[in-house]
Amino acid sequence: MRRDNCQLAEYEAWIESECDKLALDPDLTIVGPFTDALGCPDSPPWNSDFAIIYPGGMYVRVFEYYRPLPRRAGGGGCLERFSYHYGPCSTARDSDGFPPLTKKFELRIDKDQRHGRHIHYMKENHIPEVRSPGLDFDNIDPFKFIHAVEEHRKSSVPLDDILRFKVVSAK
Amino acid sequence: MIVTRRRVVSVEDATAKLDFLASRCGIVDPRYEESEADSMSEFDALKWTSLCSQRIALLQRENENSSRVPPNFQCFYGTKHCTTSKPLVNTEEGYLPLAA
Repeated sequence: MRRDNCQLAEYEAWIESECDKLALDPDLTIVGPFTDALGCPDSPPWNSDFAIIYPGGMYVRVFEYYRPLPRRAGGGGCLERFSYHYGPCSTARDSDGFPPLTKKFELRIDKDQRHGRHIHYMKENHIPEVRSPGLDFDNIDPFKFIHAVEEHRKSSVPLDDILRFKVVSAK
Repeated sequence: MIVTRRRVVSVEDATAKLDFLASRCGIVDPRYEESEADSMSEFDALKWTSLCSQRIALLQRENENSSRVPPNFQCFYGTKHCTTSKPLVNTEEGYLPLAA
């Protein structure tokens, strides 16, 4: 389970332990996981960035941003923004080996400043949390997302069934 | 799988990345504020806002470092607690030796 109000080293330990639990095929490419300490070396804020590139031109990319909590609230890092993306990618790579970001998606779960909690799914952009009941934004994490994508790729079960949410049409 | 901690960039590096992103998104004379991400695509906005945070954090760290007393001056100011010398008192024995 995700660590909250933690320091960067604890977060990295969590990422490593969860990565070690992934049973990934040998023919895919893993980029990262990377962390960027944005302030002091072991304190928030920080970013993390991680991708799994599958043969056949699909990829998962997860990005998280942890902000510092006030000292009276513990002073650790707290997840503020994230993007968990699954979709097609080109063969181009940036200097770290990540495919360039594109707007094409099969599913993306986001929390950002502009749109808050929302998803991109079934070719529809910015579906707010209220229109995707069942999706647990409080408890979703990169590894639940990756496990869901892995299951989807192996079984062809739709991602909304695996993650147990549905998209309600806009009124 | 080992997490790689990427190099902490300098303020100049963060600013250059922001400038590149700004030019790609058609932002002229960027102010390096998170609100400027409003006109960007989401991925660019995520990158922009985290780079803005990074730039602010790096600037703060630079300011903290520049306001610290340089090591050479620390030698003069020292880290030992202040001690009070004994008061000099004239005695019958005449002058006290200096190195007493």
